Amino acid sequence: MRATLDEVIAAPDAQAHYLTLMRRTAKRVDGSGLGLGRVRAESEMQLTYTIEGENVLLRAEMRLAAEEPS
Amino acid sequence: MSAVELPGQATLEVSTIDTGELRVRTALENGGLTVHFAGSADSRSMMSIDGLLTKVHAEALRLAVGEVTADFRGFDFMNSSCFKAFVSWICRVEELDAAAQYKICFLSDEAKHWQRRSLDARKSFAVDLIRTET
Repeated sequence: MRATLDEVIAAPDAQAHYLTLMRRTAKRVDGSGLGLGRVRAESEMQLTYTIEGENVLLRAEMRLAAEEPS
Repeated sequence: MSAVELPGQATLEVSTIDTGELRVRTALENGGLTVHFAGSADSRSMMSIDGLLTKVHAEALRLAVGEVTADFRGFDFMNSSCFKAFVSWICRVEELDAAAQYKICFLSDEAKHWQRRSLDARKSFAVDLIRTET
């Protein structure tokens, strides 16, 4: 779990890593193996996580531009 | 699955999915094979979509079509499990000899932002096989 999360989070190029995940998981039969890579690449969110016992807390964050007053 | 005979044309083994949330139908249109998606697909739909795309692939080869169109314009969302079914389909086409390969065209709706991001990624995955239209 930790290795999987670290790989997705630490990849310097989210898009390139997402394509790598697609190649790697194309023939996988259990689960997609793409979810977090997809979140990071498609939404351009920053992912962080903490593990406490059997609980994993995953946080996805992005910065949005403030709406200009009309 | 049922067969539809079109006068003077090929016969298409038609696959459909209708779960209420997700509706998929296939058709021979404009000389090619088109798969229309509507609604949304979560992990419960993964096996259905994977099975349907396997049949679509077999039909595309049997009919020797040059292109299969995946019409996403009515497709509101799909999760990553279903997305992977499309990746697997694209890989099956890639693994064919060049002469047997067919193109895949994704018709998208610009107003559905997830489609642009997902289809851009998919197009990067297989540049020579995939094109997108809005």
